[in-house]
Order: sequence, then structure tokens, then C-alpha cells
Amino acid sequence: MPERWETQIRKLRGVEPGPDLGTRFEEGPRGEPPPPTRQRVVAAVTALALFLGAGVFAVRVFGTGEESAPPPAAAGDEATLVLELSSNDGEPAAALGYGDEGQDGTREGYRWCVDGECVAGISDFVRYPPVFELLVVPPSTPIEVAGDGSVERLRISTMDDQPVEESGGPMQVPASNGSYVVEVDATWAGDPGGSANFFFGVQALDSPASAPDVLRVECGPGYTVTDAAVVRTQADGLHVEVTGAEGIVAYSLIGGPGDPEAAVIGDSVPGGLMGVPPGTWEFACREQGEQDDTDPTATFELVDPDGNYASPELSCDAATEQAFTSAIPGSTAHEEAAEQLVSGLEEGDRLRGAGYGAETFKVGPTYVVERGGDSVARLTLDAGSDPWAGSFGVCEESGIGLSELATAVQLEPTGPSSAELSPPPETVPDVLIVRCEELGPAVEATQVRLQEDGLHVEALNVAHADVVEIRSPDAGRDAFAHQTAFDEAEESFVVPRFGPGEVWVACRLTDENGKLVGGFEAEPGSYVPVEVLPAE
Amino acid sequence: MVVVRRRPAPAEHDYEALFREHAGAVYRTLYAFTAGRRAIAEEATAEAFARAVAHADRVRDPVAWVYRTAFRLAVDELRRERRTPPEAAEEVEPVPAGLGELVGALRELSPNQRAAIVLRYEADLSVDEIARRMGASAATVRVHLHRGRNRLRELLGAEETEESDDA
Repeated sequence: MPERWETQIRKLRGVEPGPDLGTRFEEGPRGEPPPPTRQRVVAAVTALALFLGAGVFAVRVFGTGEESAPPPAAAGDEATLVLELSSNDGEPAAALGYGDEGQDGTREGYRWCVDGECVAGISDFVRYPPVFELLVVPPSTPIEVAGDGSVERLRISTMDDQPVEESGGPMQVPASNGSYVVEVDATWAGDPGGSANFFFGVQALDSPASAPDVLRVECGPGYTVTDAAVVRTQADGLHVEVTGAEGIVAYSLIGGPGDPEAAVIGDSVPGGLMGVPPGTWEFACREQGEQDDTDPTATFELVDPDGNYASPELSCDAATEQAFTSAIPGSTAHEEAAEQLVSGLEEGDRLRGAGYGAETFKVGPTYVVERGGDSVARLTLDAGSDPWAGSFGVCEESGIGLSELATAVQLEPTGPSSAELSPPPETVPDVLIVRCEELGPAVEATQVRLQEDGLHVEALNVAHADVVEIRSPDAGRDAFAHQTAFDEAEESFVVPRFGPGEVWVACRLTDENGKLVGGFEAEPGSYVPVEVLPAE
Repeated sequence: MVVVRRRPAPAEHDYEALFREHAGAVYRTLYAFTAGRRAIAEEATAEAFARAVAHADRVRDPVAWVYRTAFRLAVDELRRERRTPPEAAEEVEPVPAGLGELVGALRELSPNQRAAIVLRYEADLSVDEIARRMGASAATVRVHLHRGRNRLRELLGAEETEESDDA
């Protein structure tokens, strides 16, 4: 029998959208941000414009922070960067177009007159120059002016405001690879007419190999900005440097290629290393108290011209996978074991660790055979197995196989939803490993098996937590809770009273009087659930 | 030996059929997410489907994509409203008969709690599926469900049963 509130919730099943929903759908998208970036100027202030009679007053005008309208289609071919100056919507606007890509200019100030009545304003931004995205173009690309306005001055500077070029007319992108600010002063003759200035960001890049190998990110109040739209990998992954880290509790990569997986570094550190594959990513600076889905993000493309990344995903449409055991003792280094286990390599094939670098593995020690830049076989060793065992996936007709040192083991058929190659399921650990971070606790597995004497816990304190707490979730204030204070950066302890079921784990702080702050009632969101299984 | 096949590139989807099948559910979720803002829920639902069509070549999982996009659009609109002077802000629509108590209670929850609760208890989705549609982790969804349930019990009352989130 459902609770009353559940019955109430189910009343929503009678709620239907209005009859015009289908029509609205068929009308197509409105107000979508221009590709390829979805950065937003969240930080600009509110808008105010005063229409006056004959005189013109300088009033503060506020950017709205709204997503930009789609830019006009580029008028020229890809060899030209088109600066479109338009007043079609009754106010001055500017956009850059290069091929199919575009960027709306960020307008700082303007004066606009219609029938002798003028309005003027200037915008305030929390960041100068007000450049929040970058359009990627080849160096020395000519800039062509189009539209009904004229360029009075066009100034190109580095991102730290060092002037590069200045001209009163058409010019070109700098010849050196790098990111630049393009500032345009434009005028419109006649009535209506007036003047305005705009900012744009461009990254001049002649090839992926010329892209910077460090992603530099600025986290600000309500915005995230990178200093490049294209970044390349290093041997061990994506290097990130962050400024404005104060108040930021994590840096996330979201919306990458394929599934919307996330990679997180951070805890208010000024950078780090991420092991994400090449592709398009959004970088988010997660502020204290911010929800994941509202973090401002900056989009960038991670390229891998040097082949630093070996994909654990097989490149073929059809592959076979089998589990195996081997005659190779677990004391043999996994690199050596992998070499002994894989046979049939052709000339030019390369057996290498999956992911970045030889020591960066995603799930256990994983190796792939690369052929022409594609992964055609994958060997995943079960960490800690003795002798070595694991699974082997291979593209059909690649000629790669397991050596005579391996013995195949039949795998249970997987269901239709498991059509991807995936690592073998991990066994449930019998120790709960908790890492106390500023975001809250992180557990290495969401299931743990009891031992005979209770729940074994190893807690690693990386964020100055004072107490690790484990409690049952649903019984309210009087629920059983086990609290262990940290004396060292690591604590191991056994909770003897727990039976199987769900427990919630938290890392807690004390105030200046030694009293625990927060807690389950006040901050249930800081608790992480873990399923406790019976002892074997 | 098991034959497995690599996941294909985004398949072509019949978005009109998807719209017919899922638009109502998306709308109801957004209706709860916005605590009864019918106009915002409708616009976010329609716009999300329209954008999915526009980006069909890179949308692998259109239903989840539409949900996540609709959530984001609704958040943007609610934020925009908060920046709008009160006299210019859109007036709150009347609540349909019979839903007044529920909508009032939903307004006491955070948007993510509302979304998790309605997807779990109105749409009968699993935690993993909710996580996929909200673009959050399953652990985060459990937290939203736990907090939302407790609050709704306080506001609307409870009777007997307790349901697991691990379905």
C-alpha cells in the first residue's frame, strides 16, 4: 500500500501538456547557442537603457548573460574570417563567421539613434577582456568586413592584453599560433545609426600538433573560460592548470564523446592531470553549493596528434571476447605477462598499455594491440590474480590471439544491453575504502561484503576531515551510527554491529569547540550510500 | 565464447514517434521539476525535442538527451525569471484542480529532488534510469530521493510502505 505522498505524486499522471506542444515542436529549436561552444557570459550585469530626447547620457548597460542567438551564416569561404556588422534588429550587432562556425561579438558599449532619439550604454563584465569563447581559424586568415556597418578600428591583442595589430580597416589574424582578442569599433551611418564596440576571441592554429599541451582554465564567478579551444594531449594525459580556484571544490569534464561520463579532479587545487580520451569536452568549475547541471562550462577539443592515447575500445564492428586463465604466475610483472599472453602480432603492431602512458590503466592492467592507430585486441588482466587471468577481446580476422600459455574459460552470455566490450565484473571487496574529500566521501566500491567480525573500513583523509561516520539511512535521528575520529591521515577500523543492508557514509568536520557540525539531518546530501552484503 | 559488437554510431531515430511516446512524460517531469510552471515545462519539453532533431547526428540516446536538455532549459528559464523585475515576471499559472496540495509540497523541494521523485514514483523508473535522464550519478539520485521522500512525508503524510531505490 503506497504512502499518501506517493498517491499524491501519482496524480501527476493526469497532467497533460497543452494542445500546442506538437506544433511548437514542429517549429524547431529557438535560441540555441552557436556551435561549437556553449559558454555563456553569465557574469555581465543587468540591462538598462534610457531613451532620451535630444541629449545622450552615458548610462550603464548590462549584458543579460543569455545564450547568444545563432550567428548569421558565414558569407565567405573557409579561407576568410568574415566580420558581419549588422543593425537588422534595430540595434548594432557584430558576429564572426568562419565556414560553418560562428561567434557573436560581446558588445561593450554603444550609441544608437533613431529619428533623432538616441540611447547609449556601456556594459560591465566581471572579466576583461570579455571573451568567453574562441573561434578556431588558421593563422594569417584574412578578415573581411560585411554588413551595413563600417570598421573604425580593429585591434588584436593577446589574451593578457598585449597589442598585436591595430588597423583602421580589413586585416588578418596573426601569423603565429595562439589565442587572441579581437576588438572592433564600428559605426553605422545614417538614421538609424550610431556606433558600438565588440570583443571576439579567436585561436589561430595551423595544425593539431601546434595546439597547446596544457589546458589553462579560469574559474570565475558564474563563468568558466579556457585560453584555447583546441588542446593536445601529453604522454600521461590532459594537463590542466586552473586559476581562480578559490571556492571551487572540483573541476569536471562532462559531455565528452559518447556517453556523458565525467572525470573529476580538484578540491581547490590549481590544476591536475586527467586521463580522458581525445574528443570534445566541457570543463566545469564546480563551486561550493553549485549543482552539477548548472555549472558554467567551457568547451574545448582534446586532440592527440602524437598518439599518446591508446583506446581500450576496439575499433572493429565485430569482435570476440573470452575469459582465460594462464600458466603465468602472478609474480610476473603484468607488462611481461601481457607480452607472453598475446600472440599473432604483425609487423608494425604495437602492444601497449591502454589509456595514457604505460602505468595509466582504467580497469586493472589493460593492454591493447594497436594496428595503424586502431585498437584491434584488448587484454585485461585481473589485478591480483595468481596465476594471471583475465579477459581477451579481439577483432575478428585480425590474426591476434592468446598464446599457448592461456587457457580459455567459457563466458556467460551477456544480454542485449551488454553489447559493448566491457571489463569483467569486479568481485565485491570485503573492506570498505573511504576517501574523505572536500566534496564529501568517495568510496571505491558501492558494495562491500561483511567479514566475520563486522564491517571493515579503511578511511583515507585527504581533506582534513575529523570524523568518518557510518550509519543506517532511514531510521532518523536514532539510527545507529558509528563514528571514528581521525588521529592520522589514514584509519582502519571494524564496525562490529552492522548487518547486511544499506549504510550511509560521511566525512565530518568539527567546529572550534570540537563539536561535530552538519550531520545527517542537516546535510544528508553529504552522505554516500553503500550496500553491505552478508559475509561469505 | 561470446560474440560482441561494438556500439554503433548514433542510429537514426524517428523523433516524431519519440515525441508522441515520450513528450507527455517529459512534460510531467518538467511540470514537477518547475513546481507547476506549465508554460516553462511545455516550452522546455518542445524545445528539447526540437533540438534533439537538430542534433540528431550526435544524439545517441535521444530520450535521455531530451530529458537532460529540458532540465537545463527549464533551469535557464527559471534563472532568467529571477533576474526579471517582479512586475514583469510571468505570473504563476493556476494549479489544476486536485493538485494544489501536491504542487504546494513540491515547491518545498529542490528542483532535483522533484525530478527524482516524479521519475521514480510517477514514471516508475529505476535509479539508474533516473540517473541517466538527469545526467547525475546513481548515488546523487539516491540522495535526492531520500531527501525528497522525507520532506514529502513531512508535508503530505505517510502510511505504511517503504520502497527500495535499488530497483
